[in-house]
Amino acid sequence: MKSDNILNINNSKLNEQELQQAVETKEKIVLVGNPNVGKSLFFNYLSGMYVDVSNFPGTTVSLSKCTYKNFEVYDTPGIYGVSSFNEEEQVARDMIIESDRILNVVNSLHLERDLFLTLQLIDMGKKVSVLLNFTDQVEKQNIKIDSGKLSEILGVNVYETSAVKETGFEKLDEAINEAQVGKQALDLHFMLQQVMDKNVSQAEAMLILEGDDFVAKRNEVETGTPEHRENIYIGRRNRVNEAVDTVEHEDTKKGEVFNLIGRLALNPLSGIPISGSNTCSTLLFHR
Amino acid sequence: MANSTLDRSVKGASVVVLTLPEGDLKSQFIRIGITEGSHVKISQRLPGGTIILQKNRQEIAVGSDLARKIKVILQ
Repeated sequence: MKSDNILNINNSKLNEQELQQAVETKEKIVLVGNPNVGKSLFFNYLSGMYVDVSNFPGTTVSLSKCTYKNFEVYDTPGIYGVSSFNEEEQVARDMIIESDRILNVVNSLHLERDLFLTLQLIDMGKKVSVLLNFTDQVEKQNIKIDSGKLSEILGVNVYETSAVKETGFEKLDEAINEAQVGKQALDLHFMLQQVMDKNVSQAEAMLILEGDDFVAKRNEVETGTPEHRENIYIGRRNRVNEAVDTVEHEDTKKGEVFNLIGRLALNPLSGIPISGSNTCSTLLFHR
Repeated sequence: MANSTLDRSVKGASVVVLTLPEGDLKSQFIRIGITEGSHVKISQRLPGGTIILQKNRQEIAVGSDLARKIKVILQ
């Protein structure tokens, strides 16, 4: 597909040391997002390679890396926030800290959940572009999202995409090049500066304030208390809720139909026939 | 309006979350959009006591042990 973008190590005339140096000087782009939002589909497109993609969370359990143009691109496991709560977060956390630019993949149907991570990345002072994925599903459910307004609120570029239909992929180059530092919460500035004065990066300072012991020990500074973390999280949650109220409008009737289907699928009496009919139609379709 | 815990809530009930367990769990709830004071609906009760909460378009499965630790106000 886009194999010309892959650095062909075998054909390279550089020796091992020069190659290592070239790789080290490349800017790092990291794909970050909640579980099951389509990060790996974007990674596949950028790398021209195939990595496992499935319709359930937790498919990416380790880092995948490729080279795209002058960038190194990393795919990370899905996370709801940056911290050290589990192994996936620890893997993603260090990659995010070291990244130069972040492509934050967001599920448009779950802005309320996904934008928490977006705001956390912005508060960490990283250069971010938001890929608003599943826009085809949003249209189907008669939900309207004002991506221009969202971009204004976040202070970073927002691109509407559908990874499954490969729409919006033509904007990926722009998304990478135009990634920028967004609007951070004003009340965090003073607290962040106090930690950053101890020679700590803004990204790590944010995590230390949020009580990340591992990052604090690594930088030999004191960790924020659980109360600190809760206050920061609640403040961020309120900012997310306000943003969603401003940018999202829903025709509830269609949304209710989709929710009803979801509920029926969970009920043992109606769920088993639904699952059976799905299996039958899949088998027939693949014949 | 009566105080209860999430595990005792019936299917279809609308509740307000009164208290969440302290610590990492509380932080994880805040991340996905559930805070103390949030309005949620009990969308399903699965065999084994797992509760499916609905908040706007999002559905969240809460295990029975955890559901016992979440205080709610029935509406």
